[in-house]
Amino acid sequence: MQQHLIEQYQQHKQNFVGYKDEWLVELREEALAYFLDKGLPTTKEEHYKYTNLNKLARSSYHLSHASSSVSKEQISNRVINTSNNILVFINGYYSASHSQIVESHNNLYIANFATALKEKNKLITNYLGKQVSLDNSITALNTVMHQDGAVILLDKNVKVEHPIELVFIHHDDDKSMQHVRNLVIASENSQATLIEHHYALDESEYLKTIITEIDSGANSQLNYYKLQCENKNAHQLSQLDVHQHQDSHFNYMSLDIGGKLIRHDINIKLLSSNATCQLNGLYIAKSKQHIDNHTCIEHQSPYSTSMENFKGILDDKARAVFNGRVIVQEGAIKTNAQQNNANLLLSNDAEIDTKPQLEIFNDDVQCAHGATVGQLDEQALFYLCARGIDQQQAKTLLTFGFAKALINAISDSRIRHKFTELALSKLDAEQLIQESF
Amino acid sequence: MLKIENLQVNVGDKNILQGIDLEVKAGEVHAIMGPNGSGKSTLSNVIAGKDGYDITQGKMTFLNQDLTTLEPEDRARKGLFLSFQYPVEIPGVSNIYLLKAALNAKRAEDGLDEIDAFDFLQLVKSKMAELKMDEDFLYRDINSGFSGGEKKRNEILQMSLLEPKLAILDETDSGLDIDALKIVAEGINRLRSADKGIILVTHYQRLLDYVQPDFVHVLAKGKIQKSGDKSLALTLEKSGYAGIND
Ligand SMILES: Nc1ncnc2c1ncn2[C@@H]1O[C@H](COP(=O)(O)OP(=O)(O)OP(=O)(O)O)[C@@H](O)[C@H]1O
Ligand SMILES: [Mg+2]
Repeated sequence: MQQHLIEQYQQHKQNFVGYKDEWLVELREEALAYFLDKGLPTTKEEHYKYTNLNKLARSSYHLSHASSSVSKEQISNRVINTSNNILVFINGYYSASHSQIVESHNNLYIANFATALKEKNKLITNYLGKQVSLDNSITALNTVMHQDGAVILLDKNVKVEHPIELVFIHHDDDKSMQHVRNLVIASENSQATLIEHHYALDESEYLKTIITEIDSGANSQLNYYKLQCENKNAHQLSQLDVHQHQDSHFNYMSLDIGGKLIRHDINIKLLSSNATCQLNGLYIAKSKQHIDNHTCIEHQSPYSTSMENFKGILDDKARAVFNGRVIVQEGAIKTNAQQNNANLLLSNDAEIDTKPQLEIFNDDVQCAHGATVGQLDEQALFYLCARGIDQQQAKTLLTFGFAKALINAISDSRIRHKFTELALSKLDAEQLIQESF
Repeated sequence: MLKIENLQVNVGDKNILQGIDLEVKAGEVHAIMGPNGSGKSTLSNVIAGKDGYDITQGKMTFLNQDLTTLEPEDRARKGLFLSFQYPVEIPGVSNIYLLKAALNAKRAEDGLDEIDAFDFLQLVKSKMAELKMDEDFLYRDINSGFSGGEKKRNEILQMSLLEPKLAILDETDSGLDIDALKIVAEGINRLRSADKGIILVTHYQRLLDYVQPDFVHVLAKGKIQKSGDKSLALTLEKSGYAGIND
């Protein structure tokens, strides 16, 4: 992959976003050097022990092409509400004609990265590469090649009324790659809901990297939803870095149903006191899908809280990884950190590697973690069948029932509905939609 | 309607039912009593079609059909109902969904269309009123967090709604308070009719005071040791199971 990446970089660098900004070109080339040196992580590295990128490393991907064959309906069918703020990226490139900003005023900035680089140059310069240090190959790869992404800036006290939907659509030849870079800065006391969607309109093989940086200001409240519905030949490597300040709330909920090989790194730093994060995730995998969620929460200050709840449903030969690292620093007294990972295995060939990783450097904390791996409850199955429900339907009911509470924790009804719909479709249980509402 | 002949059942290598003969005709109420561990629930579960039991000998027919070849869901749709001794908690599946799906499965078997949503709600609410159940129970997950007595009442709600041809009530009276026992007994009596059969598995005479059985059987050590009319239950109440084997 390394050699091919140099060629791709040389070929496209004149067209990259910010190719005239010297600092950005330098940053890209620094990242290129890093990537050439390190390459993709191998299973010898502890945090990639269960996720093998070898095949990816041996393949060559070309930078994605722009596509003009995506209709408006293909977007409106997929978004949560067509009256929301919507930014659409097709093959990694912003599409103004598919997008709409319904809320705009002086204190709220919603734009694509390329535009923001022109309009908010100083701010972008300040942020980019500062929060995300070039300390891993995925970041490096993304930094070399990043094409576009979303930039969202909330000024002090801004409450964004309509959710902001970021829709990433893939529709390209085989072996394309796209690299997305998002930046969200939520100033003091601001509030917003963001939804990140991923869909493919064809079955071609591709690689997508996404880096999202979020700065969550004092007393800000952010809800971040991620719907990962890539196609069955997709590779997605994503990294979310959140810096939380005093009294901030960050709520995250993801649904993974797509992809061939998926890896998410979610890194939360609770920098100041009383910051709270809730990380929830549901992954449903079949055939030979591989879905890896690596979370890392660092409690740096007193009275901070992290609540984590990931659930997985695995069928066929699917494989999932959950690694929940929690670091509680010496000064972070009265930390409350709760973690849970529950998995339902529907086949004997499915596999889960789940691992809590607690590193606690003071005594005055409340930390708990739990991991379970189970099968469908035979007693419950018989109970339902004894009432006349056929076995397959009973299995589906119990399977969805396993995930339902997690989805129902989503407070916004439209978003909850969307999660339900997608989860049910993955479970071939669309008929249960009525049961859910 | 139910005919069991020389039924022998193993769990693993353990021979639990050692030759049961039992016939329940339409219109009859049978009580099965017997010491703990004698095989009453095993018999109930085997009739309902639960996995994990090895039928080594004997015959079991329901409405002249061989039961052993039918899946549990098919038995239920044909009108067999088991009220569980320990109703299972099922988080993530709502009670109302189960009630509706169960009713519709039975209606499909009977060649009827799905019940209209409004009619269903009317019907289920009237049944709940009879059982003095709060409507909130409809929207809770099946038996989840229900008290012992509430679970039993929920079983009777399902029975009332499904109107089975043969109902097996495995210790439905255990764990009920005095008022609830009466309410549940009334529910059972409403089902009782010339075309339905009922099997009451119980340890106590008090249920039989309300629902008077036509026959009483004593199951002990995997066999029906004694059968009689309702007076047998009264004898047992006085002198226990001692001497029953002779
Ligand atoms: N799955 C099983 N594995 C091993 N033993 C079993 C199993 N199921 C039932 N048994 C045994 O079979 C015997 C009969 O059990 P069963 O539950 O039928 O008794 P019961 O008559 O219903 O008792 P109770 O009055 O306490 O409800 C008991 O000794 C029980 O331990
Ligand atoms: Mg029993």
